[in-house]
Amino acid sequence: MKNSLNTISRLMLLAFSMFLLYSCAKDEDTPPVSTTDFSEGIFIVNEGLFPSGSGSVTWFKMDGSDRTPKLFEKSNNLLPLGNLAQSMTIINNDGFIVVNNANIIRAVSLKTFQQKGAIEGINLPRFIVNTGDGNAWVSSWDNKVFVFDPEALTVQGEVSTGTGPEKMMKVGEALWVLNQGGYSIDSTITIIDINARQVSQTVMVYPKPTGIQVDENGNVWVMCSGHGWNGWPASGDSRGHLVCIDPSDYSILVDLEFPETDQHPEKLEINAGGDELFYIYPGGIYKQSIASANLELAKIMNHANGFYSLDFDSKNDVIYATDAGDFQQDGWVYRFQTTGTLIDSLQAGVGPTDVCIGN
Amino acid sequence: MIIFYLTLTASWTFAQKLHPDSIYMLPDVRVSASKIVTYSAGQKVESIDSTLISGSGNVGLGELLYRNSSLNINRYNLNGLNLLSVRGTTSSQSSVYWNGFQLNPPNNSLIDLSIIPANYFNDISILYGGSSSLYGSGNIGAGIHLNNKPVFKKLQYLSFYNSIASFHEYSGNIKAIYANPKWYFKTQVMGRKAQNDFRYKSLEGEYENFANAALRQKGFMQDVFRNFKGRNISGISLWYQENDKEIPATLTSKPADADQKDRSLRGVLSSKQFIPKGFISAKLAVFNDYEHYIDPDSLQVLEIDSEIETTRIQGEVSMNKQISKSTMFDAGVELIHLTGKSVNYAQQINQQQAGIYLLISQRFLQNKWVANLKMRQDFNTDFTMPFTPSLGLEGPVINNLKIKATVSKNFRIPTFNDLYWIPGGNSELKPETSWNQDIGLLYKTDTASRIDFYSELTAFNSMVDDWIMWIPDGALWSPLNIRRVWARGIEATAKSNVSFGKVKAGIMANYTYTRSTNEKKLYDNDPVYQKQLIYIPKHRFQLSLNLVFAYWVVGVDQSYTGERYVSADNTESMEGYLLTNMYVQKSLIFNNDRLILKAEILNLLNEEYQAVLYYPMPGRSYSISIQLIIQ
Repeated sequence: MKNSLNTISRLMLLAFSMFLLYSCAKDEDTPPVSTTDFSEGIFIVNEGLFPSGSGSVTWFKMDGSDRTPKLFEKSNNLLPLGNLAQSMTIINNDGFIVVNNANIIRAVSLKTFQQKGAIEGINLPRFIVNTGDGNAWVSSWDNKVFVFDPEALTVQGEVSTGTGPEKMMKVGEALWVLNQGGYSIDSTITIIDINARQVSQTVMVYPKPTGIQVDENGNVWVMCSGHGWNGWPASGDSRGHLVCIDPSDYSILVDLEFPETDQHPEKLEINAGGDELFYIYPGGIYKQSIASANLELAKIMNHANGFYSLDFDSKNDVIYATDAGDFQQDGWVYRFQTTGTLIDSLQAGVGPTDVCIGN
Repeated sequence: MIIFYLTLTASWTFAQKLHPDSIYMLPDVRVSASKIVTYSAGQKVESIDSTLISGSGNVGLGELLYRNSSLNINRYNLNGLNLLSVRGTTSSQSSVYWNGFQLNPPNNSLIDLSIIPANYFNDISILYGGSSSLYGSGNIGAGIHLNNKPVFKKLQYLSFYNSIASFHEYSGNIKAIYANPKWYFKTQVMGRKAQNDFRYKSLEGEYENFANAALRQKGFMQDVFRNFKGRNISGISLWYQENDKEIPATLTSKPADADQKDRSLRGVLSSKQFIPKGFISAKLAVFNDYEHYIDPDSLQVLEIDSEIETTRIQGEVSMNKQISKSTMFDAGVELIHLTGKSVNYAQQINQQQAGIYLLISQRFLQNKWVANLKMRQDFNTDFTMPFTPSLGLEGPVINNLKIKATVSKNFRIPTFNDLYWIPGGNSELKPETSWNQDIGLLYKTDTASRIDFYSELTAFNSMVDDWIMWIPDGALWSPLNIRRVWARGIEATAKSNVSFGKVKAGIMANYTYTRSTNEKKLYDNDPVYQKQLIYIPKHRFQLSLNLVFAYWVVGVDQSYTGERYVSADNTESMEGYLLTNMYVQKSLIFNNDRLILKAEILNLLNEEYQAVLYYPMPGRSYSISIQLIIQ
């Protein structure tokens, strides 16, 4: 018995020393000092680990080489970006990263990616549009859009919108705000006079507007996704619509209806020429010519898992589509020519949601 | 009078030994109270020392188990969600039972161990590994069994407990027992209030007070049992619990304003009729759980104002009988009716379940070896349930060294949320199934020896198929039977009690090594293939030591949780952390009454750590308590 006791006490000692070893083996990460100029490149905004993780920005050179994951953390003494990074917009030589669930908009120098300042306190911010008049606008889930000074980083004012404002676009002297509806339903576009900072018109379209573009003729195309979920039919579902609106009188020039109530088109991008539209539809990326009188439903790229978001590099006429996977591991960004030919794929961070092309 | 803490060393209740209070003095001692005790041969069973339970004040079950067992518990903040993760499985794959009935609500199967006051119960046992053959669904990782067991002897007991702790925590409870050979009455009332406004370091490096983390709890438990001359024991246990918890922000998110209010009303009616060499048991349970979560900030667009109400009505009849000197069996039927109401379900959910089981325990080789064969078949209105057999074997190899082995089939049914949540619920889901194997060696000194030593070494292995995961497709998340997970590891436990003159020392150490990996490739080059599941530490170590002398007790406990991956492809992880706690306790005795004073330092080494990503935890903190026991 004595022997076995000894063996057991030795085993315990071994286990205990192992445990000491582990507890001492903490290592401190130190950020590498970077000399790279980041302004010419691709910024992929990643939402981050679901649910409590931090978002990140993955940077690539335009040719897809020189990947830098967690660019913001690395450039800012390991400060995490925050929970649920949503979008990034470039204004002059600064990047503005909207971190939705942290109520923060971080302004960084594009060159060094070091934080210059931040706007805090806008509740659940989403997307930013630069109106070029020394101001920028940000949409917020408080059912408002806020106007701010991107230099001074101060909020100048706010305008109430419909429910769940998301994507916006400057059209002439107006800001078009898509009221996506959040978890309820909204079918409107709030049109704001950017000088008067007042609502000038509310345009009724179809449920859940998710994408907006201006074509070569100056007409505004809006993708209305329709209410409901893909492949998960429920009562109250409605069909998607792609509509073309004349910005002078808000009349609907073209109204293209999608065939299914449980298959929803989403997002909207336009080529550099302004005559070809791209959108996500279950199974891949589809295109639509602005001249066509009918819905073409022309698939240019097949992707069974579906894409999470869509962006366009109008300088190089390249489509960017993100695959966010399960939000528990790194996702991917695919680059396509407008014909649908795959150029390459870029390894993003966790949950890539927005692609911002540098200067 | 029992001298309170002299029982401490004597009652280091080694595995499978029950607290003396809970053993009925019946003519045939072999007819014991619980299915676990009689039919768990071959499996690892750990009982939490009864003095630890009764001395735990109003501490949550999660905290008690984290400090005194090898269980891995993921703790979100102080007093935040405490979720079990045992043997490489997730929290919904283990269950918590109260008097034999599952507490995990059917909507999400998650049980928050932080809001269950540990000292409500006089018996807490952990049944490691699969136990679907005993208890049906939800028993892949482990089962925690909480019991209120009556004692039929003359006893009048009244206890008042009060404590004050750091971060504005005030708590108290009253416990009253009146018992005689015929009756047993026990009333317990508890209340607890805490601000949890501890100082933490923000990501920017500034120290701030943690906000929106307050907790308010009140609860009531009543047991009434009647002993009809040892021929029948019948009784009722009622438990009402109310919790109001603010839900704090993580380090990376905006200040929070969310709040969750829960209330649970649970009742168990039981009757045990003793027959020659056995008993017939009939039980009925009615549980109702209501949860209301509201987040004012996100209300406008996300409509996060969620109410969920679930009900479990369960009836159970079984017969346990010894049919020869070495053979015993238990056969039973269970009927379960579950309901769920939520704005996220299209209508009220009703689910009917039934289970039939036969358990056989056979002794052989001079009754020193025990083998058991357990068979159970469940039925459910929503899906086909697997047949779950189990085979266990246990016996001495040499002298004090015992060997244990089990093989079992286990399963977990999808939750109401998995099946019916709008949007995304998937009514086509199948139950998760697993095969579990354990082998263990147990060494125990003879009870007469001066040094009491006990150790157990267990290797476990399980393969879980049709593992359910919520996967996004665009913006829609839906659950699928998508994974196969191989969980295996080693658990080592050692306990010892030694006397040096008037000083008695007790030591306990636990170490767990866990590998739990994803064994199914979803596509070529799947980066998650063969990677460790998130939040499952490979290493966990727990150590506690106490010294008892002349009404004084001094104790130290330490637990280490190793590195945990937080991303499924194992590219991101959190570092391990070591927590040390220390306490001093003094009992003052006045005739039959006693006053117990206790002072405790938690996180003595002021470790800065997170148990779950970006949920800060407090540094060093203090608590003092006073308990008056009148007998």
